[in-house]
Amino acid sequence: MLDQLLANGVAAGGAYTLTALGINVIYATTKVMPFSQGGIYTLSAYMTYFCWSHLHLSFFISAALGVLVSAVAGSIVEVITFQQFRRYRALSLQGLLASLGILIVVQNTVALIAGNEPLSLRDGRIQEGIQIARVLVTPWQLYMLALSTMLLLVTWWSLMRTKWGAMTRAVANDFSLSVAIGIPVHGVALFSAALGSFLTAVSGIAVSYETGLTPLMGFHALLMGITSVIVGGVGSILGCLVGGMFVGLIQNLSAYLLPTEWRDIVVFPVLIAFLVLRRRNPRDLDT
Amino acid sequence: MEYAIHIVILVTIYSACALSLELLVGQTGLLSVVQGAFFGLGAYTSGLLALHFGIPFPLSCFAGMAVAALVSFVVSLPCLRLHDDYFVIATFGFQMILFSIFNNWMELTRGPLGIPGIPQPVIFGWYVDSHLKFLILSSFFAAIAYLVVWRIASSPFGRVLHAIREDEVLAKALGKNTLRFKVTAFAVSAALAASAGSLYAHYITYIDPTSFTVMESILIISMVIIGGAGSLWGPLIGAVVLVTLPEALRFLGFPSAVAANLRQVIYGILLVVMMMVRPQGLVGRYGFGR
Repeated sequence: MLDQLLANGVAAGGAYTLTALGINVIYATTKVMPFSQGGIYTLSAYMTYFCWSHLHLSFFISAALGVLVSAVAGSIVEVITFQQFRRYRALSLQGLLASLGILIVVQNTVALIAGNEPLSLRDGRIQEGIQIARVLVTPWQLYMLALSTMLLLVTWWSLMRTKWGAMTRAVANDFSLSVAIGIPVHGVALFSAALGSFLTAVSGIAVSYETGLTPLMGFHALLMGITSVIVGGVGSILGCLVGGMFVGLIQNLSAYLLPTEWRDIVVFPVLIAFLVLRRRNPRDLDT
Repeated sequence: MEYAIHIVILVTIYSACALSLELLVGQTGLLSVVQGAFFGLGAYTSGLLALHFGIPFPLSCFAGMAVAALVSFVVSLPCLRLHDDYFVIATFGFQMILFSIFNNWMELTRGPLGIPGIPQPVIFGWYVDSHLKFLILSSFFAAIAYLVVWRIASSPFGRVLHAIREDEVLAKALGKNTLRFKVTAFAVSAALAASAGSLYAHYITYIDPTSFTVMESILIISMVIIGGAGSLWGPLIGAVVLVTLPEALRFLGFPSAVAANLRQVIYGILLVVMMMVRPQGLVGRYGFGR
């Protein structure tokens, strides 16, 4: 049983890694925990569902459209809110509340249009799991893990080996100095928003294929994503993987010790513990 | 007419709750997302004591306030070491934990089944069994909450809170034990929210965990922020706006399933617009640094 829980944990960790990547990329340039990504997550899944079930497009085309719409939506959010906050140097709490507001609006608009009941992206055929060692996994879980790893490497490469990546790291490190040097900070932030939303959208669509869609899915995934980011370390790409896997494993292994209804909230004491006990950058006196 | 009184009762209950949060958000600059849980703690404690042990309302209300204040220490001591975004996220975490306790501890709270049949208040022989009588009671509570917050805000204690809001490092450098001030404010705020919660429980006479989710916390935050943080009228105005606006939806003929989501959309839009255009709210004085 334990090894099955471990496998489930790793599979869940793959999804959380992607969500954490999306959050980290956007946090780097906006310096605000992007709660709005929960909305993008939900939007991506529902957009895909709409294309698949109402326009009768194939799953992959629907997914591609869902991702595209989400990247655009994320960019719009960036331009109309975070960019304005950056322009007049607002405190991050303003951005946080605004992004929270956006999450609420998107989530409930989706619920208004598509209803509050769970929906499914599958066409009803039940797939058999694959047996690896003593553990049962679904093919989709394996695709997701592969996809997460691949996107993790792509993000790492683009942040560390491209000019755009260098600019993003500069903006993340010191905003005013980046402006002074002449880096197009708003353009960089826009690109980050699009990339981050892309990652979140992939995660959202992949998870919704596995477990269906509900309007609250984005909120839940966001919390897991933020926990993964904090556990792994804000601003660290490897941290997304470590944090994501840690959260996935904790969540699933807790089923071994606790009744299942407590499973979801096991993560929160972990989040709080990491927030309080993490090593802080001595330059950030107040955080 | 009964309906109008019902709305005003809800406004007064939420005013008390919003005022409790104003102490944290507007006076001390702490954006706490756990107020909904304290509201719930007051409701559950007071409701359970009244239902199972027949404890009269004033005592059960105080018990709720005491429980909330005690729990607030558990919440505040880890959270108050964090700042800005991370404080918000930590209180978020505690809100989720407390909600899960309401929802999953079946032996105590009956979980999602809720607690029906909470007795209406009886205060020294005065039976509060009509809407009008309850309005008098809840207005009294709102007035007390206003007085408490006003008294704190205009006292030397309040001045230190304002200093913490504006520049905590400076306050510490001047020798103030800011943690002690913040923890105290947190406890008072939790107790006030719990008193509003016990009012709520004895009014609706049925409570369940869905009234105390993170959305409730966000609603209370919205009331403070949209009305205006930093001013004591702000939360009152926020409560009026955010309680009556969705009720107006009813008269536009939306079915109730749609109305719940539409109400949240309105909250969200108001929040975003306010943050973009006027972060100090309608009548507030604290614009988060702007």
